[in-house]
Amino acid sequence: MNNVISVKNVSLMYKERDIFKKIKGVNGNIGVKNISFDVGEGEIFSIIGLNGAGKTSTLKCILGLIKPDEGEIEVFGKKELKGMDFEKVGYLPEISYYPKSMKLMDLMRYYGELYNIPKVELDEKIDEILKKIGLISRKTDRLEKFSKGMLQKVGIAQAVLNNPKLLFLDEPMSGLDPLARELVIEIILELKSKGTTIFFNTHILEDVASIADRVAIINKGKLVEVLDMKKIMLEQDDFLLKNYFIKTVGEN
Amino acid sequence: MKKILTIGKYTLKENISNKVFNGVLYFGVLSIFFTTLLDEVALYEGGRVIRDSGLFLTEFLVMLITVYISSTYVIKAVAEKSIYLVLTKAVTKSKYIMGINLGIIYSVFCNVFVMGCILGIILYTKGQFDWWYIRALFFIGLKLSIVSSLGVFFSIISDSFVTSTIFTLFTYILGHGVMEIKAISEKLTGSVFQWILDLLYIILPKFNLLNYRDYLKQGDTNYFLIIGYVVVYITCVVVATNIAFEKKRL
Repeated sequence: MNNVISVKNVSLMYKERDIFKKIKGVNGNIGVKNISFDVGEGEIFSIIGLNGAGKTSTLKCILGLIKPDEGEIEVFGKKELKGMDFEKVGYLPEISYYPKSMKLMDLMRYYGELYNIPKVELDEKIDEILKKIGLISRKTDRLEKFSKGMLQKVGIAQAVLNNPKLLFLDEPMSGLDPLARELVIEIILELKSKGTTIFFNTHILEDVASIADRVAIINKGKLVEVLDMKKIMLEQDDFLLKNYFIKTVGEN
Repeated sequence: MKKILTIGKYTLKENISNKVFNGVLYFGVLSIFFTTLLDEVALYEGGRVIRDSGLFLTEFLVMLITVYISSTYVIKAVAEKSIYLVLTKAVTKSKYIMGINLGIIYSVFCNVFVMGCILGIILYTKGQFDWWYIRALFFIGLKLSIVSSLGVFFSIISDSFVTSTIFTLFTYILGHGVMEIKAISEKLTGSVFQWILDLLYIILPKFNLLNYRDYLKQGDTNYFLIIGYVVVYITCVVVATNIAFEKKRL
């Protein structure tokens, strides 16, 4: 299996900008510290951790939104995601705000045009996705009328608009009802069956255990452990990720 | 180029449906209607009074909208993280900045067009409509395009809506007084202040070139030179914005 993502000894520090704190000797906060892992092609890889553990920072470093202070990151075998590489990538941010005054269809067309999807295909593709997530009847509505869960669905729709080869999901289940969560899991598994590599962060450990191939536990910016879920499930029938996570993070 | 145009197009769409943008535009249209009352109270040349006050209102209100949008747009996109959704779609930071600038310039001209049309109809009915009026509107659009690019620049370097608004408004005001700055500088020969004023004279936009009232009686206006100046100035500001934005940790 080829590696789609390779992270080697990556460290990131958020520098303190408050001059008074700097005088007191506060240099900043650790984003991530010396983390290394690989993600294989077609794999579902998840990072779990407490709030502020460094999950989103890791993801942003991989996406090239933040440059790490140290270490190397390779995506699709390249040192940095650039230009057309992004056309193979889908991304759902943790909190995705959209221009509230825009209509859903306009927003999807905007992102579709940025992905260079031809106009003829784009409207069909948008309709197909919106049907799947149950928002087709709302496509001419302005986003200001949407609930938090609906906006999360919009985020997922825009992330899969380009049939990505690599999909990044930051807290994809956040704000979703149980039915919508099932739907997201269904979408993730469908994409995996098509060969898409999925990298996601979440707090909802039941979902991780049911769909992830490997799980990385991150705590205070450090990678604690990478679990091979298939192997563990075969070896231990009564394995509960939640209990394991609490125990591991507690020890650290 | 296609992506810059796409970002520009959807920035315009977003601005058009912005409540503040629309609020000021409605107020502007109403105010222009009220200028017709000046015709009743003016002792002579009522039509000219309407034209001058209408053009002043157009420039002033569109300037307010421009400063508001340009100073807040990128700051809001970074704070709300909506910028990530664009930057992860094969859009470089520089294309994003160029697209946003283009979108705000579209919005400026769209605003000037709407208010200009209303005033144009009023002037036509008063028999005061001529090509000078169209030229004046175009110059307002050019001037405010410079203001919009400066607003985006200040918002990137200051990271604060209040600071960037103050800087943009200050530059707008100083930009009208560049000739005065030059005159003062000539009197301060050899001092440090002369250097500072000379520097200000070089970097500030020369809005005196775009002041439509000055062209009322002049027939030898070099339009190509003026448009060229605006294009070069905006290009320089956008390049500086790009350099600052590239270094910014999002």
